[in-house]
Amino acid sequence: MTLVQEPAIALCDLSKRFDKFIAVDRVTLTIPKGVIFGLLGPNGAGKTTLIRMLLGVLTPDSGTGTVLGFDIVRRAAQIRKLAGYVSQRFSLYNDLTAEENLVFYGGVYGLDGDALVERRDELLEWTGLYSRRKEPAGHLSGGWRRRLAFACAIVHRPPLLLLDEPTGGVDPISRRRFWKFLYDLAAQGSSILVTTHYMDEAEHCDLVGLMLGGKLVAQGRPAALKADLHLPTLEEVFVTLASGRK
Amino acid sequence: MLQVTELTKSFGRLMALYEVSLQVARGELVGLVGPDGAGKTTLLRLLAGALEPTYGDIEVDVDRERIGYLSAHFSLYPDLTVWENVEFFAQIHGLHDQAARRRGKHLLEWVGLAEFRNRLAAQLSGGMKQKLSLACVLLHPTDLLLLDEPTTGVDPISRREFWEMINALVSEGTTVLLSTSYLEEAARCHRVAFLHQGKLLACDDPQRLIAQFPHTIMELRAPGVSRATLEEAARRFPSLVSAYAFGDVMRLSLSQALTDHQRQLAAYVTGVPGLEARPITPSLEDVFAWMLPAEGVGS
Amino acid sequence: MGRRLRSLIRKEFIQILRDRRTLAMMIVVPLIWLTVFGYAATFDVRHIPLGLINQSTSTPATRLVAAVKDDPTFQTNETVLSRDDLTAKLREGRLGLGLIIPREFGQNPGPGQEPAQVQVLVDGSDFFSAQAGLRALSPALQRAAGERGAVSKVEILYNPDLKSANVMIPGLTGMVILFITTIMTALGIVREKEQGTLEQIIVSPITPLELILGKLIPYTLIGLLDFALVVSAGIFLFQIPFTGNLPVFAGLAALFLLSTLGLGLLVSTLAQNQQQAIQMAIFMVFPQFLLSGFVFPLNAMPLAIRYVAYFFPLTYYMPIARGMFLKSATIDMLYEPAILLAVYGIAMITFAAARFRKRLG
Repeated sequence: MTLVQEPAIALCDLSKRFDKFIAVDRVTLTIPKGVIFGLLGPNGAGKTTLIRMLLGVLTPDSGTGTVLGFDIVRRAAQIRKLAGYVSQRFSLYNDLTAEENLVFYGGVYGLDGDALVERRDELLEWTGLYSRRKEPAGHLSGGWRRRLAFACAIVHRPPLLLLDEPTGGVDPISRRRFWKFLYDLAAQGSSILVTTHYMDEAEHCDLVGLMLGGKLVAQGRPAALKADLHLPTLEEVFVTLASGRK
Repeated sequence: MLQVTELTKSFGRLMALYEVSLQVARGELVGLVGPDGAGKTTLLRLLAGALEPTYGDIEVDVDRERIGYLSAHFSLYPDLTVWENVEFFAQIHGLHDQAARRRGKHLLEWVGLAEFRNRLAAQLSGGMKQKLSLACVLLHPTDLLLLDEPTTGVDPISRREFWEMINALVSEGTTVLLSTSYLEEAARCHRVAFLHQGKLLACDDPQRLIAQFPHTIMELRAPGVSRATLEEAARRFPSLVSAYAFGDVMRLSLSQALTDHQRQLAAYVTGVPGLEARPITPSLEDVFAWMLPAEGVGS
Repeated sequence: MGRRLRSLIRKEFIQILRDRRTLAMMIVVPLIWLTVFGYAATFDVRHIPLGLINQSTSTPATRLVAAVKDDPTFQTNETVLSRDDLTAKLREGRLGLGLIIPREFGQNPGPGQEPAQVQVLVDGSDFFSAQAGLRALSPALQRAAGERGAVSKVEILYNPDLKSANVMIPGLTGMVILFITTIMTALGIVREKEQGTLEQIIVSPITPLELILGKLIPYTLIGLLDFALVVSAGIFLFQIPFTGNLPVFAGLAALFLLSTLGLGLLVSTLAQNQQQAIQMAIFMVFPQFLLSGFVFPLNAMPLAIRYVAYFFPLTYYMPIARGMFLKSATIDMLYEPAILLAVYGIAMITFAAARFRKRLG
C-alpha cells in the first residue's frame, strides 16, 4: 500500500486582479509537504498577493486552491488556525515585552495554561531571546525582532509556515543563522513557503518558483533550473528569464 | 582623499562607532559591510557631515559641496513627480540655470527614467526610486559619493544596472563609499571594510581577505539523502570547525584540509553512501563569519 | 472564541497600563476638566469691582450703599472721585460696574419733577459679569427706590443657588466619556495598523467580531471608570446633590458609550496614522462640545444649528445627565432621549463595525 500524501499547497489557475492590474495571473503550483519552497521575484511580481490569497485574506477572482487540504475560499478559517505567517514588517506589539508577545500570540492560536508557558520558554530558549524576554519588543534591534516575530509565528507548531520577505536588509551572517532555523523546522516536518528577492538566498530552498508580472514563469529544484539554462547561479537564471520577457 | 582617524561616535550610552581609522584614495570604491547596528550608517553620515563625531578626525580633500550622500531611506518627495523632484533638488543646491536643466534631463536618461518623468515618485518601484535618488545626488558635481544600502530591496536586474552606473562613475574618477548587505556586491569593490559593533574588524582587498582565511571549506553532497543525515555525516570530520546547510548541500569549515585520499574515503568513513566531499573556494561570507565573535551573530 | 477574546483583552490592558501617555489621558484629562469646569470656568460671578459715588445723605441712599457693600457679588474698595474718573476706570477694566447716587436721591421730588434716579454704568464687554452684576443689584435698587413698588420674588427651581458647577459637572460626565473613548478606541486600532500587527491578526484565527469586541470591551470599562470618577468628584468634591438613580444613570451612560465607541471605530477606519486619528477624533468631538447644550443652551441656538446639534449623541445624553443629578429624574421622564441614544448607539456601532470588517479584507 502506498500512502499518497496530499500536498501542503496545491493551486490551479489562481488569478487575482485589482481593477485593470493583474496581480496574480493563472498560477498553478504544487508544494509537497515538508519542503522549503522559495517564491522568487521582484517587488510587485504578485508574491504578497498570492500569500494573502493562501490565507483567505483576499478572494481569488478565478481558479482554485487548497492549503493543507482545505479550500482557500471556503475553509479559510481552518487554514488560519493551522498556518503560521511572518509579514515583511515583523508585526510585533512594541509596547509588549518579548515574552508577552509570545503569550499573546499563543493565546490567539488557542494555547493555554502550562502548555503555553512551556512552549513560550522553549521558543525563548531556541531563539536565544531568553535573556531579553522582559525587554519591550520595540527596544529590540532588527535581528532580535526578526527572531521574535519568527517565534510568534511558530508558537502553535504550524504544519505550514509562510514567510514574506523575512530577510530584507539582513546581513549575510544573520541570514545564515536564520536558514538554520528554517532547516530545523523543516526537519520537524513543517512545510515552508518563503518569498525573497535575494537570489543567493533562494539557493537555500528545496524548490523554487519564479514569479514575474503575476505569472509563475519557472519552477523546480535550484540545481535543475540552473542546469536547464546552463547558468551558474539562480541570479543569472532570473536575469535571463526576466530580460527574455521584456 | 579621505582620511579618518580614530573616529568615534556615541549616542548617549550607545557606542555606534569606536575608533575607526580608514584611508581612501581618489577613485577608490570601498564597500562597507557588517551586521545590523554595526555602524555603517553612522560612519557614512559622519563622513557626509550629517553628524558630529564624539571625537576623532575626518579629513576630506574635497569641498563640502562636492560630496554626495544617498541615505538608506527614500528621501525624495513621494507626492512630486520624477521631474519635479529633480527640479527641486537642483534648486535647493542653487542650480537654476539652463545647464542644470540639461544635466537633470541627461541624468534621467542615464538612469533610464526619462520616460517616467511625469510619474509620481510614490509610484516608482524600489529600483527606480534608488535610481532617481542617485540622479538627484549627482545633479551637482560630486567627487565623493556616499551611498547607504543603495541596492537593498532592489530586484536583481535593477541592481545590475545600478552597479553599471556606479562603475561608470568610479572609472570617471569619483570616489565611492557604499554600504551593502550583499556580499557578492562587496566582492566587486576595490576594498571591503568589515564593521562589527562599531569597530572596524578588517579593511582590505576582497581577494586578500579570502587568502587570509585559515580554514578549508568543503562541500558535502549526497543525492537523495536528508539534511539531517548530511549534518550527522559532517560531525564525523575530526577537524570540523563549523557547518551549515545550504540548499541540498552541507558546507563545512575544516581546520585541516583533507587529502585526496581522505576525500575518497568520505562516504566510507561517514557511512553515507554516495557522499561526495569537494573543496570549494571560501567566500567573503565565510571570512566574516570566522571573524565574528561567536555570540555576536545576529544581535 | 473565549480564549482568543481573553488574549486580546488581556493584551489591550497590558498596553493601556504600560503606556504612560494613555494612562495620563485617562486620568489627567478628567481631572483637568473637573478643575476647569468645576472651579475656574465658573459662570458664578463674584467680586465684581464696583465704583460708588454717593452724593446723597438720605436714608434710602445709605441703605443702598450698605446693601451693595454687604453683597459678595461686589467689591467696593476702589475709590472713585468723579463721574469722569468712574468712566475712565470702567474703560480700563479696573471697574466692572459703576453706581452714581445723585444728591436728590431719596428726597421727595419737587412739583412736576421726576424722582431722582440712581445711575448704573456697566461694562458690557464683560458679558457674564455685567449680567450677574445687574441681577444682584436690582433687588437692592428696588428696595431703595421706596417701599411703593412690590418687590418681585424670584424662585429658582432645581439649581437654587444657580451654581454653574451643578450644571457643568453632570454634562462633563458625557464630555469625558466622549473624548476618552472616541480617541482611545481610534488610537488603539490605528496603532495596530501602523505597527502591522493588524495584518498579523487578520491572518490569525481571530474573527472580525472577536477583534472588535477585544477592542470595545476594554474601552467600555475605561469609559465607565472615567464616568465613575467624574460622578464621584461631582458628588463628594463639588457637593452636587445627586437626586437620581445611580444604576439607571450608569446604564444610560453605557448606552451613550455605544455611540462614542462606534465613533472611535469609525475614525479608525478613516485614519491612516495616529496623528490623523487624533485630528479626526477632535474634529468630531469639538462641535459636540459646543452644540450639545453642554456650554450654550440648545434653545438659544438658531433652528438650523439646532438640527445639527440633534445629529450628535451628546445632545441626547446632556438632558439625561442633568436630569439625573438635579431633577431626580426617573427613567420614564427620560425615555425619549434614552431611546434616541440607544437607536443612535446601535446604528453607529453597527455601521462602524461593518465598515471596519470590510476594510479588513
